[in-house]
Formats: sequence, structure tokens, C-alpha cells
Amino acid sequence: MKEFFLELLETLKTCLTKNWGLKCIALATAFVIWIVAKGIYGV
Amino acid sequence: MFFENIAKAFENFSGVDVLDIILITVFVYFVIKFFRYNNIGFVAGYIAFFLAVAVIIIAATPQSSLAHAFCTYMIYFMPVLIVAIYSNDLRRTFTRIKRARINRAIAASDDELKQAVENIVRATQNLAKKNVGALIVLASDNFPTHIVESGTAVNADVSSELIETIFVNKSPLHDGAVIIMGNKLIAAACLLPLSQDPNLPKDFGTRHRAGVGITEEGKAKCIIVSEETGIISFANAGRVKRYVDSEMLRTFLLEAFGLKENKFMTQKWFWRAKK
Repeated sequence: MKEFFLELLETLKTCLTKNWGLKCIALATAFVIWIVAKGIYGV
Repeated sequence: MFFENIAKAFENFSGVDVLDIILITVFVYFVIKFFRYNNIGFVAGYIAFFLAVAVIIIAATPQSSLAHAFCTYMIYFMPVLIVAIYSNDLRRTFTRIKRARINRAIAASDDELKQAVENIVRATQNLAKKNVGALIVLASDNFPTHIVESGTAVNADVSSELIETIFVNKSPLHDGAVIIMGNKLIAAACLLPLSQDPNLPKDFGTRHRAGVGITEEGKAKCIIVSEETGIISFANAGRVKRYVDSEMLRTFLLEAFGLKENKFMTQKWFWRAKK
């Protein structure tokens, strides 16, 4: 159990500290998707 | 109507929209990671193109038209299609947490890495002297897992004897590449993608093309020993340095393992093949 939580903590740490380029691309893509979705469906 | 809706959305921008964008960002991030790690990035390009076309059609056509309905249903259907086609890759992605544990176990000390470098240099020299062909891949953390899985798992400490034994001609594991991550030899007899670079020297055979091919995406470096001539080559970022002696190889490996300041690895001009 302890190992699982350590594993989870490590994964979260990696997610928060690495791949900033990819995160920026994901954020830009998400923003475009959001704009398009709003434009089409007006929700 | 399309632009009016967007303007309205910006006017009524609230915390819920921020949450919306964060959720979509997380989803997009993992989708991109999935495509990148499974080496199917080109598919993402096709999907993005299709989605763009579908969205334009949906935006430009009235809701009652057939094209509008068709494109809407295609967008709904696409995730199901992707899951069906890439079910194996998805399975591999979900089991990656197990592999992450292996990677962390590989986190070696500097002394262990230096020991591994010496062993690799010694093995390469011995193989070259005996004209035994070899392909030794130095993998980074984000090395494609399907390549590791194409071979046989070894998971042993790197030693010159082990590498030499694997590449002995009659050995069942000699055909293919060994993958080294940190100070561990994780797999042998792995299949590598061949480089399609037309600028490579004409005398490069399959082994050299495979060695160069695996470095093209920048996720690995590769040592290639020619079976015909015993010449040692080192491939980096899709380029190759031939006639590498033991001192040069040691420097390259120390740089590749981050034990020495990068002098050659980042110099693109240095890595051109001698024709």
C-alpha cells in the first residue's frame, strides 16, 4: 500500500515538473477546442 | 452565428470555463503523450486534419443538413475507432506504471554509470577486434516501449562479458540490438526501425541503417560495430560518426550518460557521415 502511494506521489511529481513544452501545446489546443466548441454549440 | 457565439462566450467567461479548459488540457496532454510514446504521431496529424475539416463543415452548414449530421456523428464515432485500432498500444500505455517502476530501479549512481561505460567500451573493442557485428542502443527515459518489447527481456547489470556473449554469432539473441538504460541491459534481440535517409553512405547495410534509424527521434544513441570491417560507429540524432576509437567512444558515452559536459552531442556538424 505504502509503495502504491509512493508510486502515485512520484508520478504526480513527474507530471508537475516535466514536459512543459507539451503542456503548453496541450493548453493551446484545449483553448482552440474550447473556442470552436463555444462557436458551434454556443454552450 | 459562429463568431457571435464566441464573442458571447468571452463576455460570460467564468470559473466554470477555466475548469473546462483545464480538463480539456489534461485530456489533450495525455492523448498527445499516448501518440508520442507509441510512435504513432503521424496518426495524430491525420486525426487533427480530419477534425479541422469536420469542424469547418459543421460550422458552415445548417443544422438540418446531412453534412452537418454526418460530421457530428463522425466526431462522436472517432474515439471508438481509435480505441479499436490501437487497443494494443492502449494496453501497453496502461501497463506503463509497471515499467516506470523498472525505470526508477535503474536510477544508477555516477560510479555505477562509469563502470557501465568502461564495460561497454571494453565489449565494443573486443567485438570490433573479432569482427563480430553489434548494435548497442543507449536508451533515454522516454524510449519507445514497443522496441524494447520486440526483443527478449534481460534486465541485468551491464558487463562486457554479457554484451560479448549476446553478440556471438551462434547465440539466439545475437540478431538485433541490445538496449541499455542506465547501467542495466534491459533487452536483447530488439528490432529497430531502419533509417530512410538517402544521404547515408551507400555502403551502409541494414545494421548501420537500423542504428541510425533509432537515433533519428533523439530518444537514443547507438553504437554500431561492423561485421565486415570491425569499424566502430556512433550514431546520434540521425547522424553517424565512423572510425570511433576507444577514447572517443568513452567521451561519447560519458556525455550520453550526463557524466561529462556536452561537447560533441549537441554539435550537429560533428555528426556527419564520412562518405
